[in-house]
Amino acid sequence: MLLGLLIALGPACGDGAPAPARPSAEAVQAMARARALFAEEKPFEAAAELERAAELAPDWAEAHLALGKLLLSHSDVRFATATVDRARLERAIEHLEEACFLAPQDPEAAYWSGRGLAKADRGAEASARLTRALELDPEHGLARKELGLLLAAEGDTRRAVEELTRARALLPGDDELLLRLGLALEGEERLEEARDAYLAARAANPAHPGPPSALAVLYGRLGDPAAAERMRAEFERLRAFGKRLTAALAHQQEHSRDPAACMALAELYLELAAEAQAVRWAERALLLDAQHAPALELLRRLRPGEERP
Amino acid sequence: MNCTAVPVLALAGVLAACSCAEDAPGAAAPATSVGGEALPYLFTDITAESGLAAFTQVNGTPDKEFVVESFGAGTALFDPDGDGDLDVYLSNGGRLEGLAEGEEPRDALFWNDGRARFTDGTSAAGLGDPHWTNGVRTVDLDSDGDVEMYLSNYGPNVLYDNVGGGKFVDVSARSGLDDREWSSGAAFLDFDKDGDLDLYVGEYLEFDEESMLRERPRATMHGHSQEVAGGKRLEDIPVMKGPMGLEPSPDRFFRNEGAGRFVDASQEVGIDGVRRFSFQVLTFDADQDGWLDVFVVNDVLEDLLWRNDGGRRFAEISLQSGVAVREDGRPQGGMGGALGDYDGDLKVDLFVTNFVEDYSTLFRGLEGGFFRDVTSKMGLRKDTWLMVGWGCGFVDFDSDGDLELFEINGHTYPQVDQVELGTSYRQANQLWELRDGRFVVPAGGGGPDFVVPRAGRTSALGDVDGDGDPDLLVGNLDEPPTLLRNDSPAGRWLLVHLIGAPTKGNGGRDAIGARLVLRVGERQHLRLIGTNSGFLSSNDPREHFGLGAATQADELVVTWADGRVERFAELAAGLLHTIEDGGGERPSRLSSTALP
Repeated sequence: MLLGLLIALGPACGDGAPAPARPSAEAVQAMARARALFAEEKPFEAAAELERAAELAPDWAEAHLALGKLLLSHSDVRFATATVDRARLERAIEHLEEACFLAPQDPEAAYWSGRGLAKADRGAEASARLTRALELDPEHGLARKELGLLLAAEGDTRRAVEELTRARALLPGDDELLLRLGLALEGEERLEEARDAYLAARAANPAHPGPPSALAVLYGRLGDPAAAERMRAEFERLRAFGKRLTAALAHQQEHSRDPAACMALAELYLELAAEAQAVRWAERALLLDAQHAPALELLRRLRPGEERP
Repeated sequence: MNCTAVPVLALAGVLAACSCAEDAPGAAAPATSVGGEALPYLFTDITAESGLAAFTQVNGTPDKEFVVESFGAGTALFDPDGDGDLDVYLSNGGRLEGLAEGEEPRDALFWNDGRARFTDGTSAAGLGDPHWTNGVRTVDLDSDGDVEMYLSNYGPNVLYDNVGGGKFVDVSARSGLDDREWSSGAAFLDFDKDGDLDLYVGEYLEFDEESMLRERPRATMHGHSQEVAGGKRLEDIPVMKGPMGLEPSPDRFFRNEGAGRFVDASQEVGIDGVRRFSFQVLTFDADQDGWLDVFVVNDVLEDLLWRNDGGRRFAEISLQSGVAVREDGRPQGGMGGALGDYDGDLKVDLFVTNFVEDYSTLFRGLEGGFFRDVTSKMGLRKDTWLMVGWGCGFVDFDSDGDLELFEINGHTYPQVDQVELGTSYRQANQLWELRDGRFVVPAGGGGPDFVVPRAGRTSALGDVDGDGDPDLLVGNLDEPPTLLRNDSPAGRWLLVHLIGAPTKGNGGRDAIGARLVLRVGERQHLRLIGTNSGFLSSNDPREHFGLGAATQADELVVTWADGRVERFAELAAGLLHTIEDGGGERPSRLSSTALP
């Protein structure tokens, strides 16, 4: 979560954005306090500071974008089950749209607003924003992916295949993208290509239940019941894994500043050879404790030769 | 359908072919337009004038403190007195606390006068089960021509034998079907083709009532405070605990041993090791091998498709068939389910209603017994995302030959109204029609009475007013049911009622497992008998077909459950066609009559 929050506080404007209005010193200080509060995992206190920054400098696109991204990131809540805080989501969209207005050449603002609008099921508006982001930056992989996901959710599998295929070139290891590409391809009855996309998704994240569940059906359709059965068995293993993962995630959420809780998740993912996911949790542990020995050891093992900050 | 009330403009060509019966006496003229536009689908709430408003369902505390209070209200449209019209059975719930013995809310039977006016006949019929009833399954269990009734309860289940003359006798204990788990769905099928009907019972979870009442646990609130949105904090709002965090139950299978006795054969057939939070149980031949399979819609966990391996064992094949989870591999909070063939390719499609923040899933049947999640492609993803869906069905309400799809909705947490989550406890029913290859909400959504927000749960389809088109009975929590008379402008129709020969593998007198294909010009319409579509309720056993403007169907192909195929030519519109199975010994007999 912290990684995402820190990323969410990144600069608002891309290279092509117009020079933003100069915010007051007080607004800048509020932004700095927000950054510090993020680092302390106090997102709502940080949001309050960002609100203050946006009020003090209403033309400051970066403040609106940072606030919008933060609110969007925290619109997923639980009301006994997973749900979305619609009020918070709408507020996120307001700020993201304001950022787009203030920084019309900023692909990040357009991308994030498109993402928020898609989450709010405002498909046409989301599509327009994401398209704009891609006009500003055709290599914006996340915007390309989001547009592909949006098209798939609206049932336009033909165009979804186009966008997700292009996104794949930009984000080659994105398991969710690969899975959705496979689903869209299967929707177009391009079965062999779908299989290859599912296999790539499975390789990118062996812990994701989507690829084996899709492959269990697709192999059957392709006349390979033995492979279908292997995928079914793999799904069953993931089902059991999912229970342990849920428990470990709950523990980590309750002990969000404990690097050991992160490493427990990293080790769990390693059981399935899901190295990318394990590395993410090890890096998360290092953010909490830069000298955390198990995390350093794991990263040395999985990413030999990479320098650690 | 109310012919005098049909809008003129919308479907003028179809209306020219209208062949409906007279209006139900005393029926109020329904609104036929909204904002000056004629409605293509129109339902009129006739609960009050029908007499069914005399019944109120009771389902625990207003705040729904316990998961046992979250569903129920199973209903049935059936004809236990054999007079040709559909009577109504309404189940009732209960309360865990505060009710003295003898004061429990009771189920009720209402007799139909043939024009959708009902009178309570519960006591005289020997009915009025005081248990907390969830589901109602009607079936001619002993193939004697009278329909029996099985109640799946929180508490012991009940089997009523119909002894004729509209009277029932409780034979639960004698039959061995007084299952004491917390049961939800139930489905009868001739699993082993021995000529009698066996029973699959869906069980929900292991509810320790004593500790629940003592500890009154609540679901844990996670995530972040919603204090920035109006001062509310999610974690300050308790909701019921469950089903997550509680232990799911294994389903049960009861083999019919003959002479009205059943034995628990769950272990023998191989279903005892699997635990799910089971709801609707559907039966159909998923792999077209001639043996009826069982599909179980499950809350929270993966759905189940039990393949019937030659009447000896069940094998679980949901994942490799494509119906265990949604397309991205995640299990859903399933409730109800319906089978139909929306695209007319003669392959069975499946619709499953699910919990909020997820979509109700449309699985398209493919060659080889596979299914594919086509919810997004068919336009249903967004519409169903914020709904908690329960009852559902594929049905041709306007008799134009295309199947519509409907969903009965209502959230499980009354507390959801206290926070801004984009949804509400009471939710509108939903109706979709096929247009340009997608399901879309028609203008008016079925009319003002159809979309009244309620805590809806169950649905039963059937022609209650004798005009030939399907009406809809909705079971709601904590209030009377809603009887929605179908007043949509409509094309021609016909009804088919199969009466099976009680021979081996033939699905009993209800012909469970038979398959109908009606050909009208170039179009073919598939119906399956006894699938148990919906949510915890029983539909009219007669199958309705919309013919559009055609005055007759060219051919009806009946594939009986034992595999015999018979063909019937030129079935006239506007009639009930009853086919009595000759059992292979002699040709089946077709009689075509006007509705009573």
